[in-house]
Amino acid sequence: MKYVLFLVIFAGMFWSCQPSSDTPLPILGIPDITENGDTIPHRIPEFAFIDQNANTVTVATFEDKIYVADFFFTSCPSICPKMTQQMKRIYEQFADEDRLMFLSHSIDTRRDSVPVLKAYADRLNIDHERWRFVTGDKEEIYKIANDYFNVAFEDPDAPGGYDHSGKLILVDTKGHIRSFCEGTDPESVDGLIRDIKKLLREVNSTT
Amino acid sequence: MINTEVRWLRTYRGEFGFFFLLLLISGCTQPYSQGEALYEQHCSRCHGMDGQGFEDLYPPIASSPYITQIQDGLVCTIVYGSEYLERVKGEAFHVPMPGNTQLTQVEVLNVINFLSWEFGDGRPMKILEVAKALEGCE
Repeated sequence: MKYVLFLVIFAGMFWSCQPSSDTPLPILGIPDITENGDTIPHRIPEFAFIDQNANTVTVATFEDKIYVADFFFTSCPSICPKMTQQMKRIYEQFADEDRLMFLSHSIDTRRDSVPVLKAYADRLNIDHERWRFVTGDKEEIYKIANDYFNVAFEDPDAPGGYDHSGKLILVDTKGHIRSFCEGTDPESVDGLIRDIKKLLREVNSTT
Repeated sequence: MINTEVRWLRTYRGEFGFFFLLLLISGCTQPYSQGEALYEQHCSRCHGMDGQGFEDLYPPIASSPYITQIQDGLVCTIVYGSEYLERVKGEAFHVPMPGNTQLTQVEVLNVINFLSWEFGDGRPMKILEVAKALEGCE
């Protein structure tokens, strides 16, 4: 009897530590609270950027899609090569999954023109429809980085002239952030891949 | 006399074997640990520890003619990056390689000797050759 009790407690401990696979991913970020007490969850605001093929990219580009977003620049010698390699790994893992898109914001608006982004995307051997490399108004990009839990700023002392964080952000079909990871750490990225699968199942069940 | 020596050897047979193995292994590992550390720190993010590069963004250096047989151009490329290569080849690089002007000549030498050992014919360069190559970069 005693053993059974122990077993139940032990199993209970284990169970509570493991989030059930049915639990949906949380909506991350600080919600807004309106005057009448409603909470509005954090959401990626409207934006308009230009991609590697000079197409305008807005929230509507990702309609009914989930996407992974990051911030980088093509001549970045420090963390970006690792981040881009991890992004490509995710891309390849979901090669046939057209409901998953990718959005890489360049924070180097001085050097990363449309043709430079085009050459970069070409050399990465990816589908230009599914993976958008965007540039745009510098202030707008730096501001939206904060909405994606990233920081980006110019710093003459940083390698390549810009300083930024390397988080990869998973956004759902409603513009809510559902998961993120450290883009330079393959193990952390493994976690994001698991969350992408989970979010895709959620998208499937609601459509 | 002989008997005691044999006994002594026999008692420590395991230890002898262990040190012999260690000696063997140390002979096989690459001798340029500073070069390897510098390569990991300054080069591997793009070119990879295996020297295979990444997609068409970062070229594989393991098969580069600069490295399979070490040439002076390698010294200049490590120190001045794609700026040097663009000057020599007369073509623009879409994804630039940064220079490493902060490296000392000895550090450059160690990186090159690591590269030669790992990917090339293993012939080490000499410090005077590095200094001479650097004069020819401009």
